[in-house]
Amino acid sequence: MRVLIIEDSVRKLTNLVEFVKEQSKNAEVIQKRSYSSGLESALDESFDLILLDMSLPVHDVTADNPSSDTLVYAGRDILRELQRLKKDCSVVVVTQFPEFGEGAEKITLDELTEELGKSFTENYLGTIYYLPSKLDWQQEIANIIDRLGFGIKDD
Amino acid sequence: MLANEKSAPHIVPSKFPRNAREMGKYGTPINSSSLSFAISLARAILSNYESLLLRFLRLRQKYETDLVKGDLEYAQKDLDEIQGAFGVSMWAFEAAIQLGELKSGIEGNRKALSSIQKQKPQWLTNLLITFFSQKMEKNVSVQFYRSGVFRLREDAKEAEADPEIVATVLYWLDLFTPQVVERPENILDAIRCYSLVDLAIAYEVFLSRFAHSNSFSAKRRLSAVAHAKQFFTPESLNLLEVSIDCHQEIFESDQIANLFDTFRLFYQGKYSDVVSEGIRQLKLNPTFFEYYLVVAQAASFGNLKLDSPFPSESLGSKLLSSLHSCIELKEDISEPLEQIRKIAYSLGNSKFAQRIMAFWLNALDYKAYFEPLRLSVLPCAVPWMVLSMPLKERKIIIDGLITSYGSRVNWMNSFLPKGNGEYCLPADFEPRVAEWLKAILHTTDQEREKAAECWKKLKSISNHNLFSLLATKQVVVQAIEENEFESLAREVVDSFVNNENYLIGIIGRSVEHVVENKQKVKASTQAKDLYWPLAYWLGKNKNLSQDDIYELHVGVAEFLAMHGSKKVSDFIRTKPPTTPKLFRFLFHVCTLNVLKRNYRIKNTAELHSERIEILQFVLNNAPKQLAGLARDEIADITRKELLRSAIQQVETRRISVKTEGVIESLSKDNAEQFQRFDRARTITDEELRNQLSVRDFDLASKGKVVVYGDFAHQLLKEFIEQIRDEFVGNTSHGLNTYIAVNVRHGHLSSQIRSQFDQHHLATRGKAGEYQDNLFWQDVFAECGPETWKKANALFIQFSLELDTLIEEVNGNWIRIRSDKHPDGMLDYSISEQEVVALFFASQEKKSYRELVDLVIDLLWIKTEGLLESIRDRISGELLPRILSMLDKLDAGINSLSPDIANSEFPAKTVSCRTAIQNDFELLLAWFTRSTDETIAKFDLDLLLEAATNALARLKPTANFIPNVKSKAKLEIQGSWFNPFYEILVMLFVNIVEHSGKNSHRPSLSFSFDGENSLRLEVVNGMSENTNFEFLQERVNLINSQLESVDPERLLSERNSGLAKVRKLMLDDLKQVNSALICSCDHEELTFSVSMALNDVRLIAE
Repeated sequence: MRVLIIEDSVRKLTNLVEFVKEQSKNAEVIQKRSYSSGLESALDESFDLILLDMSLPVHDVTADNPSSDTLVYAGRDILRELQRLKKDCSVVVVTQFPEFGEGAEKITLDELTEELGKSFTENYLGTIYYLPSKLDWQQEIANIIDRLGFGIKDD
Repeated sequence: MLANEKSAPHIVPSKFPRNAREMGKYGTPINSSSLSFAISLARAILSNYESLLLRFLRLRQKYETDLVKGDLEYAQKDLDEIQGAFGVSMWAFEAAIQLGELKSGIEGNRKALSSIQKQKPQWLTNLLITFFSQKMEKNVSVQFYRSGVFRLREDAKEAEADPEIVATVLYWLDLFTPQVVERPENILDAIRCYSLVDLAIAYEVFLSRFAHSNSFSAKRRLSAVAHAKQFFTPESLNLLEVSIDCHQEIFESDQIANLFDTFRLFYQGKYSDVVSEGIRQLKLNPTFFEYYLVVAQAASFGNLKLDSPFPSESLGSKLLSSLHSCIELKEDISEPLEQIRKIAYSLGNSKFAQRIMAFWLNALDYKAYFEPLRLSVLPCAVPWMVLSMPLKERKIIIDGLITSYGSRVNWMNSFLPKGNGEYCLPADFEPRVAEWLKAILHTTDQEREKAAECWKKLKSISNHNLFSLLATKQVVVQAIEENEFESLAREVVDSFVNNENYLIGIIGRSVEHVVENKQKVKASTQAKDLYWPLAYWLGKNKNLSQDDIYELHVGVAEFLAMHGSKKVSDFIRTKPPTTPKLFRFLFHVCTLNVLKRNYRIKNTAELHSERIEILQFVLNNAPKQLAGLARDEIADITRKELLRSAIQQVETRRISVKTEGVIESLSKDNAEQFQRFDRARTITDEELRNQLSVRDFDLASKGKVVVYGDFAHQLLKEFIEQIRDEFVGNTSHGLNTYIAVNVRHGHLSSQIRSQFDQHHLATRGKAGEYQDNLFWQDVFAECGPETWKKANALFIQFSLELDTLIEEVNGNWIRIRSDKHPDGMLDYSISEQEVVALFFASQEKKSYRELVDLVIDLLWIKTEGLLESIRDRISGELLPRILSMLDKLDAGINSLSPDIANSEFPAKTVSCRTAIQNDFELLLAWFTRSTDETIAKFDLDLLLEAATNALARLKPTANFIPNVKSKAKLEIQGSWFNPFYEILVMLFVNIVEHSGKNSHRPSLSFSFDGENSLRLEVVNGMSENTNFEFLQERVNLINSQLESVDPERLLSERNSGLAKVRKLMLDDLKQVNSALICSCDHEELTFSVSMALNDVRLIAE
């Protein structure tokens, strides 16, 4: 199973990587930390599953590029690009935020989930609300991996 | 009732008040039930003072005439005469402020305002005059003024203010708002309480509107107009009558005849004659708008030089030249249009002002506002008014005109169609004007095909921008009516590409239809022809949402895909054919925000260079105006990039050692130590042969032999340690000083704390004295009274733990290991193996300097290893500890109440957690060996911007805006950026931490004598609670300490930071001949730091 995780929070990324590897022993997990590097991998390579954060920096934050603007709806833009370029892949949004954006563009996680469900019928599998203190997210990811046929039993 | 002594004062409480206090003092007991009643009542009142008011109207006309032609002294006399005879009025107040502004600018404006305010006016009058004053200000745009009026309206709505009062206020502040049209009777009632002068003006305004209102019978309206003849000129009164009933006889007057003759000359293309006659008429009557318009049009159509009859700064001249620019449509017309509106607003509610606004509203196609004004503001019948009349009425009016004016206006007959519906304009009419008139007439007759034919022909026979604009407008209107959105998109984009000015009015607004029907338009246009992205941008450019930016990105991506390019810069390099549409696309659509979505651009520097390459292409190929905009943006991005590089340079040069300085400061002992070591390691051939021959060793056959004894080892070790001590401990150039100044002194703490401060998760203070976290008090209010208290205790505990951890890092980790700091991670002890390795590496190094360089290299290698350990510990221990503390806080707060999950707290912790992890990338970059790369040069603007930027990061909640009083022009070598930057940041941090204030507006002065001396003074306000006696003692102490730099104080974190500033001045900027002094002023409540650098030749370019 090839999994791409696009996530800028190191700790969340580590938790996701560890959990995916626990669930699917032979999983090859690629980690990306920004909209541009994540989208590049998503388009150039093939993955069985993409775990995607919603708000991401535009570019990887490194010592040479110490700051980068944040795209509040980067995850949605990545889904749009996958759809526009007809890239077939299962995508799950994993987010820690209950709402996004500001002012007129502000939407709740439920509204966003509904919108994504309607707009991306091909690739989008759902949204998982990630709370590090609870284990719900793990169960939901495990269910998805099982649903895709890559759970522990299958490896 | 009006004749009754008892009731009359209630109907008209103050006829001609003598001071502002009397105005608007009493309410109105009689409220009119309809406009008709209010007009009748107003007329009845005004008739009692007819002769007086007629004198006022004449004087007001004279005042306005003198004002418009720029005779301000005469205008002042007129105003004085009016006020002498009629006392005060809202009209007079507005005029006085206007005249004050025109005569003496803002000072005159405020003087007039203050003189009225001294009369202690009622609150409403006071409010109005304050707005008048703002409206008249030269630098206040009408848009800005109207936004203030809008806010006032919204506030009034929220406060549920009396709608009648609101309507009256709006009548005076902005006649062109819907409420004024909706409640005219209330306004007339309210104005009775001001001055009869104001009532007369309002009567004139509303009678004209009443005459055009279809809500009342023509008979009633005609009767109202007939009763008002004293207050109107015969020509304007007749126009009102004819507007109500086109069968009314048309009044014969020289004024109308002259105007019709001038228009005929215009239609005939005799532009020079039109200009001469128009100017002559304007000199006689400077408020006759129709002549301004016809003169401006004639000058433009005839390519004639336009000379105003009035002084250049007069309102009349400005109006004429602005109208001319709007007709020419060559330069950007937003400014002249704004100027026209500004003149109209400054002239209050006069008919001339309303006529000017009618032009403005028509130009921008605000039909809802324009229609009620269209005829009501005309001074007399004009030829063009018949062009938009239905055929039946048009015929009656033209017949009436010919009856009154005879053959002189026979040509008007050509505005009536022939039997076949065609128009046959006189043969002597200029062909394009004739086609224009035909096009308008067919449009009025709703003969679409014929109209379209004429507009098309007009466009083909004339290259005048106005005709192109009008023809485009027609196509656009038709496309909207017929839901032809694709052709609408094409028409709008082509118009924009040809001339940005065409996007005024309906053409500009029509792009909304394109956006609303985006799927249809997108499907029917091709990516490569660029219509879709440009039309979409035009429709959204004022307020681009994230979705819009994505939509534009798709436009760009599909365009690039059609051309086989991955980036816009790749496409440009193919040297594509340059078209105006491509330039617009590149400049307006391929912006930084859109380019960000291209994943092939990997970082901010690449993003900036991509946009710069695009802009350079536009700059080198596009027409002047767009090229100018591209040039400005290149400068802007270059500056941002420079700022970014400069900040990066500082952030990655925190760990530094000035090796040359270290080497220079090595003592004589060190050189002698080298001599001793050199002797110990070099044994003469004979000595060696003697020693080795005992063992029968054949030296000649072995070549070079290395001899390494204990003595040489000991000497080398001491040699290395001497250099190490300077490398690490030299107070001017050594590592420890740089770490103290650039890392430990507040920087590390601020960097780690920054996100917690920004997300309101930590407060400041010392153990037991942390501030309460008031940010969450309101947020948690809904979760029960005790919640915030408990949460506050957790926030304080968190703040304390965070500071303790930072102290541990600062005090123990980032230290040179010594007896005093046994846990210091920078362990520079030299091992035996290192000495041995260096000995063998030093065999080829014959000179003292060569060996010193070798030791310095060793020390740098050692430093890099130590820095790596620090980086590992920061990411492997410090970050996890901080995140775990945050988790504990998060869980603790969430456990206080289930409602917290619905507050903004969870989002704040999540966002803080991610931000901290990103910030740590930057923190890790601190602990790397500096490179020698620097920006090329910088100026004081860049320095200030970078330092302010750094403060915003370090103290995110500080409200800090420096006020630069003076700034010398000086370019400084890039290598000096860091110390200058550090100095400013330190001074700014000091202000935020020690001023005791919540907001900071320090004033900065940079003065340079042009040769060698640069002075910087920073003055900041101090809290009223400051103990200045204590502060003065501190100042005296600091100043005495600043005379020299005490190394011990320098390495301590517990001082004002000025010692570090002094160190930077002396050692890093090499300003031996310099001074740093601080002072405080208890009367002004200020603290100042003054810095004088007198060897600036060292650092200036």
